[in-house]
Amino acid sequence: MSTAVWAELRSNFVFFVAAVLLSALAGLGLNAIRHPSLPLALPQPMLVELENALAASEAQNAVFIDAREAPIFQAGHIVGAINLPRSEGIEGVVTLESRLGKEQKLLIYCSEPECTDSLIVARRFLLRGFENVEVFKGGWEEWQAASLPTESAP
Amino acid sequence: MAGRIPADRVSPMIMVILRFLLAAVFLYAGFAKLFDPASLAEDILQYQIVPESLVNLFVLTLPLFEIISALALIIGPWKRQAAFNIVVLCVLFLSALGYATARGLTIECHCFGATSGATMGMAVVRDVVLLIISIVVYWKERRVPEGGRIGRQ
Repeated sequence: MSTAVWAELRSNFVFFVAAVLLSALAGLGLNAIRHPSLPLALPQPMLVELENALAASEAQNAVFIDAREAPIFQAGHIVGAINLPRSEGIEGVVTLESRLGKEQKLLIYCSEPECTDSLIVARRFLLRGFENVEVFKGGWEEWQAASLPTESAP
Repeated sequence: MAGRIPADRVSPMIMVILRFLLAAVFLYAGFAKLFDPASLAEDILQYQIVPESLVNLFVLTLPLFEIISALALIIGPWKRQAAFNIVVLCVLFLSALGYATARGLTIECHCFGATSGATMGMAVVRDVVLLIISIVVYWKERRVPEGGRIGRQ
């Protein structure tokens, strides 16, 4: 490869790296003055068991968020739960922001222990700056199996 | 003939228009994403191509990288290098779309901010067009003379 082509590639590479570094520094600086700032480490929700979910339900100190799709939610859900399916994207979280407040404790669940929709929805809340977000891993399946209070409504 | 543009001026004029068009698109894309990093993080997570531990750093860097590259495409002595950056971005975006399609993921491309939903097919077409334009701009800005040495910008 000719010297000219090497010089060209080196010049492109140097500019690319410089632009990446400058962008990263400026991005971190901008993030430091933004409120709420984006946490550098991707936040992970806390996983809770059935007894914790039940205690929160009885104490009425948490809002249950059902991450399943609307028709399934309407057929039956934990008493008082709000439906926010994964498919609604982050726009759904933004809509709930003003209604709930970012300090509100949230307990998010989906259909069964293996489903991941609750984790995805929980992470959206965490990314938006919610401080108290938990995932009830057992989900609807475990809640229903324990014959705990449910309701079916639109 | 009055009003006629000489043939040898057509190509430089088209190149300037293409360069400014490319810069405008990436300036818009950068600013549209700059102020809503949470939505962008959510989108990037869906593509599953950036390690989770690096997603937020990537999200903070990408919009400014687009803006810096777009500005350098308009002003300063680094137009060629800026065009190269845009080529890399287009290849990156197309790879992400291809990877998502191969994995059967259906994701709306919010390439111009959270409110700009585009299907993956539309996003691929748009990125291919932008890639072609950026390659043309890069090639024209290279200015390698017949002798082989690259001249100054």
